[in-house]
Amino acid sequence: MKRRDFLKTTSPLIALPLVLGGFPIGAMARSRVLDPLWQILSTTDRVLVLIQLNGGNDGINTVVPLDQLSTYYQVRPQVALPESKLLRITETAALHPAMSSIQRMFNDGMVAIVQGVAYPNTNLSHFRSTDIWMTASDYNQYLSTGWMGRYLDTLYPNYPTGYPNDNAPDPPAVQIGAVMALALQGPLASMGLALQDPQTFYDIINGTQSSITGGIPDTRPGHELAYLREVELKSQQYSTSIKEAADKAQNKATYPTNNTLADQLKIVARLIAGGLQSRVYLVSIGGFDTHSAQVDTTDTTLGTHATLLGRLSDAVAAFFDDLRLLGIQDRVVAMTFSEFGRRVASNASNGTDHGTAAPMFVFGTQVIPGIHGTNPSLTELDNNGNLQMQYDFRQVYSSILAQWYGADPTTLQKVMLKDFPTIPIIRTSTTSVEEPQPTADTELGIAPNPVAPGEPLDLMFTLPAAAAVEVEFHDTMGRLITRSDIGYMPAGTNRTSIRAPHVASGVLTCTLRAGDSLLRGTLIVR
Amino acid sequence: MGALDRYTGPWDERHAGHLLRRTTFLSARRFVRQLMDVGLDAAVEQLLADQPTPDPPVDPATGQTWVNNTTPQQNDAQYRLMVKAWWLEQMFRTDRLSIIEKMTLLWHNYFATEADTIGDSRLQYHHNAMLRRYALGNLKELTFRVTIDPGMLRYLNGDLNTAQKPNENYARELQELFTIGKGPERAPGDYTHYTEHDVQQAARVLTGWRVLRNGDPSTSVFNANLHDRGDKQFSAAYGNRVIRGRTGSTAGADELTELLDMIFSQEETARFFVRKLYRWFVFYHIDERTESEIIEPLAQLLRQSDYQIKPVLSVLLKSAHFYDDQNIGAMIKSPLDFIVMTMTTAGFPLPTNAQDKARLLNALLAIAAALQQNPMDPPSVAGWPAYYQTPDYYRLWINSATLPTRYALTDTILFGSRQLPRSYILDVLAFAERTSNNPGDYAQLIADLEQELMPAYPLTDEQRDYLARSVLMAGGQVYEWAQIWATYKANPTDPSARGAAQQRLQNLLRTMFRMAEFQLM
Repeated sequence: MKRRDFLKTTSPLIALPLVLGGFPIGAMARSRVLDPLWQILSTTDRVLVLIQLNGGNDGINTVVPLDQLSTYYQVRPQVALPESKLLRITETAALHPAMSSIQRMFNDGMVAIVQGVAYPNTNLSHFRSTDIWMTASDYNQYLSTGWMGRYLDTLYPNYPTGYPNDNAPDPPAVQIGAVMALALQGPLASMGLALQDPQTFYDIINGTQSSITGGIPDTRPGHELAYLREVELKSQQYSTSIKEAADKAQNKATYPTNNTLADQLKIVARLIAGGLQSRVYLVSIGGFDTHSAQVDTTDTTLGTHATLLGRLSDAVAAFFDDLRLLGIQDRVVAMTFSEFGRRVASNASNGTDHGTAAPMFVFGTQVIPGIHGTNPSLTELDNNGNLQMQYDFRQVYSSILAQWYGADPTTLQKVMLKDFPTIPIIRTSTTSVEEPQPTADTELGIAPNPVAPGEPLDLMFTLPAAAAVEVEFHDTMGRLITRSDIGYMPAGTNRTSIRAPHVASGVLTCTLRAGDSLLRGTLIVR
Repeated sequence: MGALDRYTGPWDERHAGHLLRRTTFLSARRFVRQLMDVGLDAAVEQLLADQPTPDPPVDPATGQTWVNNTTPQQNDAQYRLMVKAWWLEQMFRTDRLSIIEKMTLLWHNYFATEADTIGDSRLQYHHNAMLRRYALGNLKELTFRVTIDPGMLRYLNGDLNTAQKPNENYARELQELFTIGKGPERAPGDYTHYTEHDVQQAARVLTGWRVLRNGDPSTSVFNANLHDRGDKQFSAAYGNRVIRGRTGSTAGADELTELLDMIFSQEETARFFVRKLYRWFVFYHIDERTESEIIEPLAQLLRQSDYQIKPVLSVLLKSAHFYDDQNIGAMIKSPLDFIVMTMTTAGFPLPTNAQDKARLLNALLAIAAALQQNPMDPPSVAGWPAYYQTPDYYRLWINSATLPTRYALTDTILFGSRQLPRSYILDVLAFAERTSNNPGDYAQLIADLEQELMPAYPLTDEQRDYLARSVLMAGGQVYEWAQIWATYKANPTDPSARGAAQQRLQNLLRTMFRMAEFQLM
């Protein structure tokens, strides 16, 4: 598409990425609404669940454009859904009849739909296009790392060397299944751990003796051996914490049966509720490559696509129901993706061929609900009879990283490799993000502020009761910089002296924990 | 010396074993010796010899094969599993050493189809029979057969491709995955070697082929009325070639022949195939030197021999490069390599009783699927990512989910589990005696087990020492092993004497099966 069209179709919803350097820091620190730092602590608890729809999901039959129904019935007669069965969610859009559970979530304000997501020059090969979505590359660019792998690399530098450790006891990402997704590939290793079931994983791994190492030569066979040993080692190191997390929590909702996606999400809910500190989970459901028999010959509301969307819809709804009952629904956002959408016109086999743009779904209590973008035009098509793109999928990725994880512009640039205008998908102001509320009346006093690295620093705080005090500094990415024990402090007003962390100039959050009290302040290092 | 010159180094167990592992699903020493004894040239010749077609699978309910029935089976899903089991059984064959099963799997990975999508066990069988019939023949002829094969027509919707409603699915994969391959995308829809326009034109050439639900399941039929009779004009990537539209009953085959002539006259087609062959038999990484010294000369040879496959295989499998130390042990066993090599090395014969055999093969197929290589149901038309996904390739077989599953299989053959029938518990005492001339000597025993189980990647002395002290003798004195073994030999039926030796051997084997070296070939 032309750059001009791109701007035209997206401009109302573009929000420029928050530029940290563009604001006076002092002003920012006072304005919580603008303050991305305010989210830092909670962002370390935040989890993203990626739901891959393998095969290329037919977006037009997923979110049906009600404003173009006559064209819709004309161009895709074999697969078009009857108007009377459509699940209306707005004046102009309706969901596939199999998606009643997602319709319910939409009405509850837990669904954001981003319309017309693709990338320029969509590649119609499943493999190549899947790689592009996984790596967040341009259509003609070949990357060997995944977008999420690159982001996690900023939080877990040098992974896997030196992990697990006290600050990062759990795998950065967990994939339910046995094939590791390229999206999780970091610069040195995959940031993900794949498993099918926590108990079996633990039972088998537990018997391995890894003490037999031996030097590894710098040869081809040596490199393969080193890889095998690394997988073996990481599996052993993480198997216990994963089992412990899984054992700690029980699912509280009823999940649908005969639904592989539900089976996977069930495990994810338990792991999150059980306290596993992984930041990303990846689950998948296949079969969306509906060249033929996408619909039943007698009833287009039935057939392969209906079955798949029904499974997706019921599994996601059960998952969020479970998260709510487990009390962790505000910590989780889930997002669907698929390598491409499908052709506007249906084919003669009651199916649809590979296409381009399609909607993405983002689920959770923290999403800005509703439909982002407009219905795709079924008449203004590209040369191959495919939909025009409204949003680049990397805008969605960038938005999630910035708004959900609080990634700063530098990190975004490093991960996404260029600037993509973000779309407001996730709530970012304090009014919409539940913070752990400090029980102490006063905030944490810090002086002097700003301070030079390593210089003495006074902390002033009030405790409701005597308690052991611990102080942590995090950087803007939520990474722990230092942690120190202050010792036992009495109830009432306290003043203690520590040293500012040895970091390059920047903004840190300082968190003080004492019993049930949690106090927080912002420190600027000169 | 050129990398493709004949290998002139020692023809010993290391090199004969490398040839065996890369061309068959076997690794045990008794087969290595067969190849070693006849010498390199005769070994390669033997492996490349044509093989008679195996008997088709039999329906246990009737004692007859169903694969030639003119109507589909009721409850076809169970028959699809029988075809898979039949193929796995071929991989298990030890009565002849042949490359045929690895080649058939190569073609299955190359011209990938999914039994679940084909949805007819008869077509699934005949597709495999066709692949093995042409497996060591001519690439162009094989591509022709694949294109009009009923299973492939159904899998990639070729049977829905008509003049009125063209379906591009097969035409796209034919060029992207099966012949010339995608080059850099120079402009939208222009993949250097072909364009989107060429996909559409090829789809027109391929119109008219049908798969009849009732009838001979081994062939498709051509319906001239459904064929696009217009001329097909290809892009500059193919020299603006025009394939003249034809009518009549031979129109489809004639135009297809012309289409394949056009594609196979492009130099890139031979290169594309040779790269796949290299990744299948040698190593995944192809650097510039490999490209110029191996891929290019083999691609030339392939063209000179008019796409006959055997001459290329023969040169590659006898080449100095193939036996380079960098390539021996550099391949991670695929799940099927792992399963069949482990089971045949353990020495388990397939049961003769049909029911027991089916139970075992089905159990192993389930394990193969859990290990991410479900034969006849690869993940997509591109085959298994281990053979195309950069940068990890073979490493993709191994992750934190599949590695424990591999351990579970080797644990099962040592200790038993619900995964396999109980008769597949290894008699470790007999195994030690089969494997070693002097099992009472701990160093000799460990050296012989190493040679049998992990010959592709030698252990260090430190590792061997660890296996003796910390595993076999669990921290006890190593010289006591001779006594334990002698006591067992003197009283082979005494439970405590037997148990003492057996338990130590089980521990030793369990650890060796879990060593990373065991995964390499």
